[in-house]
Amino acid sequence: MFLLAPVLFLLTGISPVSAYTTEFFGHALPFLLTSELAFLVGTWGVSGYKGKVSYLASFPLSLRALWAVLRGQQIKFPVTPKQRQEGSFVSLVWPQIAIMVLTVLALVIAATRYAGGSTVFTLGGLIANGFWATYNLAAMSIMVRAAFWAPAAKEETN
Amino acid sequence: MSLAHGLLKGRSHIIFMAGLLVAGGTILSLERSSLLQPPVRIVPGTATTEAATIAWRAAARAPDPAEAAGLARRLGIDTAAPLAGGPAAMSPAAGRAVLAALIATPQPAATR
Repeated sequence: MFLLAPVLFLLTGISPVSAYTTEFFGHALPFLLTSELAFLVGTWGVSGYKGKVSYLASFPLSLRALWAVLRGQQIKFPVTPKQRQEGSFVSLVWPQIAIMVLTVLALVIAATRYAGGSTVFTLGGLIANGFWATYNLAAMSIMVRAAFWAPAAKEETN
Repeated sequence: MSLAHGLLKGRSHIIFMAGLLVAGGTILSLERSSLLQPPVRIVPGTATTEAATIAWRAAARAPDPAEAAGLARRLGIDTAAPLAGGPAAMSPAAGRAVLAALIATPQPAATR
């Protein structure tokens, strides 16, 4: 839902909050800023970015695990290969690519409609959801880049 | 560990907080600039006030009525007052358009 909420707003104008007003940001901003600050202090000296976005970007695995639990399936732990795999891994990241394409499309459609005088969106709503969508794009991109990663030629010869 | 090294490692948190501040600050300044506009002088009890109240009740049904609320407040409408519905035939977008048109139209000193 976290990934689809901004897309839903940008395509339909249906907002998850009643209004993007001073009252809303007066409550949301201090919470978001202090929690981020707490992360910065709590993980001082350690880059928490990859962990944070991997949690979001691995949503297909989480949903698959949830589905397995709901169906009462036995949880399996397949042993992962310990040597580097080569080849195309696009099939593993198509859900992330789909979310990225959908988000970019929604951003373009919403911006075009707003520029065309549509009153479905307010500029405040567009900015807030644009920021949210950009964060989601950055989070998804880490997994997609990992799927296309290949060692540099020099590294391979070592 | 040096402060610079710690900040470098935590740069994603700093970038996120900066983004939050820029986005939040932009939205708040937009709202404030709308509210800081001089209020439109209309005489209470006039047809204009009645039209603005009805238009606000319709506009308030929008998913995000913040901008319309700013327009309504400029017209002297109490947006915190409970809403007794609006005309079903008037869409929220039409209500917002009426509010904007009322602001853009010079009002007579008194039209009783």
